[in-house]
Amino acid sequence: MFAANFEYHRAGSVAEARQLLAAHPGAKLLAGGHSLIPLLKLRLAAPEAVIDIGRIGELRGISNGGGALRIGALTTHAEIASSDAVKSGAAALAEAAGLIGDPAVRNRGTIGGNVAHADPASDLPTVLIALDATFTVNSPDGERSVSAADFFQGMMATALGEHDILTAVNVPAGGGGSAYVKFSHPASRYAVVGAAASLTVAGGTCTSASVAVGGATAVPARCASVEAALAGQALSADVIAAAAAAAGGDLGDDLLGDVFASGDYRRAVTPVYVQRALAAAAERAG
Amino acid sequence: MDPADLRLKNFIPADKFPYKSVLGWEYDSGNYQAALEKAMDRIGYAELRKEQAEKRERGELMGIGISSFTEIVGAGPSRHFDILGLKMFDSCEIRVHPTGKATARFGTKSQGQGHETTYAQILAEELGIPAAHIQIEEGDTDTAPYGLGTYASRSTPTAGAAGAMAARKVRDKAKKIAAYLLEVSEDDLEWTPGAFSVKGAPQKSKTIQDIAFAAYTNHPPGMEGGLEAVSYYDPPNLTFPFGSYICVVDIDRGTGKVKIRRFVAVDDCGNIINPMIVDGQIHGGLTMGMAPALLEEISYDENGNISGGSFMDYLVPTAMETPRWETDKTVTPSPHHPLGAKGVGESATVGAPPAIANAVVDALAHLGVRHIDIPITPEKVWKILRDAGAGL
Ligand SMILES: Cc1cc2nc3c(=O)[nH]c(=O)nc-3n(C[C@H](O)[C@H](O)[C@H](O)COP(=O)(O)OP(=O)(O)OC[C@H]3O[C@@H](n4cnc5c(N)ncnc54)[C@H](O)[C@@H]3O)c2cc1C
Repeated sequence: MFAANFEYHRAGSVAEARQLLAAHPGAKLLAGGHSLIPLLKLRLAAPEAVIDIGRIGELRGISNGGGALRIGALTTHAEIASSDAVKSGAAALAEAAGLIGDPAVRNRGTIGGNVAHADPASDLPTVLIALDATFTVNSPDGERSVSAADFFQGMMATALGEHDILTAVNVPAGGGGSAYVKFSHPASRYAVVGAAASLTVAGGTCTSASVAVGGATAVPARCASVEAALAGQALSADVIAAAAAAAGGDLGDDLLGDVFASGDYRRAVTPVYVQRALAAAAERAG
Repeated sequence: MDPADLRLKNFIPADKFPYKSVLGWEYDSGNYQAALEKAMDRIGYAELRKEQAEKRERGELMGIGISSFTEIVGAGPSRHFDILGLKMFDSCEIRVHPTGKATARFGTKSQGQGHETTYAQILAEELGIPAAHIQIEEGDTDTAPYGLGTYASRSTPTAGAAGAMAARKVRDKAKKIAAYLLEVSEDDLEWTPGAFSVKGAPQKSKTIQDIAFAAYTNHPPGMEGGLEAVSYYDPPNLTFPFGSYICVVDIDRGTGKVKIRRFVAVDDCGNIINPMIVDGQIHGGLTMGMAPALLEEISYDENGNISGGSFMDYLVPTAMETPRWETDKTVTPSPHHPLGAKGVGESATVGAPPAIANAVVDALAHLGVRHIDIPITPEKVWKILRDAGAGL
C-alpha cells in the first residue's frame, strides 16, 4: 500500500524541529524510518505532516563521561554495535544492537526511533531496562530526564508526549558484565524472547544483578525473583540455573503469542534465555 | 533395525531394472543401493551413529534422517497422458541458417531453470554447432511449436528429447548434402561432432557450417533446400530419477529449535547435460523442501479464518535459514531417453522434507516419538520434550 498523503518537513536542528512540531499538530517525527514508514504504508498511521529529524548532527554520536555513555537519539544500531565504548561499557547493548534485523535495518534504524516506537518485540528496550538507562527528553517546557522503568508504559506507548523529542539515551558504563541473548523470529528477526542480564561481582560473589526479558510481554519485564536469587551468591552454573528457573514467573499473566510462538511457549523458554544471558554476563563480570 | 539397513535390504536390486511395479509403472533404470551407499560414505554414517549414541547418553539430542526416493517425471507417453485430450508430447523446431548458426524453438518455457543453456548444449552436442551460435526461443505461442509446457520436471525428458530428435533429423539431411558435396555414398561418411568426413580419408570432410551454406546454395538435385526439422516427441515411458538424502540435526533441549548440521544429497538424474544447472535445481529444491519441513504453514483458527496475516507469519526460507547443502551424484542413464537423461527439477523437493522430518523424529525416537506433523516448529518440539520430561 502507499502511505496517505502527508507534508514533509526537514529539520536542521532540535530548535527547528521544535518549531515545526508546534506548527503542525499531530505531526510525526521521522528518524531512520524503519518503523514509521511501515506504519504509514499500512495506513496504521496517517499524520498530516512528517518532520524529518534524520540529519540533525547534534543528535548523533556516542560520548563517554562521568561513568555513563551518552548515546544521541539518532545513533544507528550499526554504530552502537561497533562502538568500542559501548562494547566495553555496556556489552549487552552492543550485542543487542548487532542482533537487530539485518544490515539494512541496522544501518538505518536508530536507538531513538527504536525506543520511541516501543515495539514489544524490540531488543533495545529490554537491554536499556536491565542497564537502568535514562532518557533525555526535550519538551516544550525544557529538558527532563526519564528512567527506563518510567519510559516504557505499554505496548507502543512511552512517556514521550506529542511535542517531546528524545535527544539522548544515557547508559551507566558499569564495571560489571552484561549480555543479551535472543530467540529471533525467523521472518522479522524481532525478539520472540530476548533476555538481558547485568551483573557485578566482588570477592567472588554477586553484588548486584539486574535481569529483563522482552518479547513475551507488552513491556519488557524486570525479573525481580531472579535478581533476588542471585544477590550475594557465588555465580556457579548451578546457582545461575536455579535462579533463572524462576524467570517465567516474573512475566505476569498477560503473555503475547502469535501463530509462531504461543504465550505458554514464550514463558517456557524464558528461563533458558535468562540462564544463557546470565552465564555470559557472569563470565564478563569476571 | 538401522534405517539404512532396512532400506538397503528392501531396495529393488540394480539388476532388476527395468522394473515393473505392482502399481503398473515401469521404472526405467535405477541403482538405489549405490546412491544410498554414496550418501552414507560422504556423510560418515557409521561415525555419526556412534556420536549419536554417546550424545544420547549425555542427554543431548541429535538425529540422523534418511530419505530414499524415486521420482516419476517426464509426462508423458500419449497412450497414458493427456490434458483434456491434448497428448502430452513436447516439441522442438530447429532451423539452421546459411551462416551455420541456428534458431530453435520449444514448446516449454523456462521459469529460471536455464533451458536456454541446457537446450543449446543438447543441440550443440548433436549438431556440432557451438552453443553460443544457437538461439533458443520459448514461450511465444505465436511462434513456438505446440507443446504442453514446463512443470512436473518434464522439460528435459520431453522437449529436451524433442531437441535431440529434431537435431538428428537435421543431421540426417546434412549427411545427404555432405555425401553430395564429397561425391561419396552416405555409407562412406562418418560423423565427428561438427563434421562429416570420408571413412579412411579424414581430410575429405565438410563441416556443419559448410553443409548449412550448401543447403541454401548447392543442395543435391531433387532435394528441397533448407536445413530444418521438427520433432513432436512422444516419450515411450516416463523417466524415474532417484536419490538418497541424509540429514543430521541437533536439537536445542531448552527451546526445541532444530538446527540442520549437515545435509548430503546424492541425486541420480541419468546423464547430466549441465552439472551446474542440475546443482542449482537441487540447491533450490532442497531449500524449498526445507520450507514445509520446518517453516511454512498456513494456520487457521477454529472458525476457519487464516490466522497469519503476511509473510511475517508464513515463513519463507531465505539465505539466513538455509544450511550448506552438500550435493553429489550417481549416474544411471535412462535406457529410453535419447540422451539417457531424466528430469531433476523436483527431486530435491520430494526428498528433502522426509529426510529432515526423519532426522528430527530420530533425535527424539528414544522418547517414543514416531511421527511429528510438519512444519516442525520449535514450539512443537518443545511440547514433545516437555511432555516426555526431557526438556531443560
Ligand atoms: C525488517 C525489519 C526488521 C527489524 N528487526 C528488528 C529487530 O530484530 N529488533 C529490533 O529491536 N528492531 C527491529 N526492527 C525495528 C528497527 O530497529 C527500527 O529501526 C526501529 O524500531 C525504529 O528506528 P527508526 O530510527 O527507524 O525510527 P522511525 O521509524 O523513524 O521512527 C519510529 C517512531 O519513533 C518516533 N521517533 C523517532 N525518533 C524520535 C525522537 N528522537 N524523539 C521522539 N520520537 C522519535 C517516530 O515519530 C516514530 O513514531 C526491524 C525493522 C524492520 C523494518
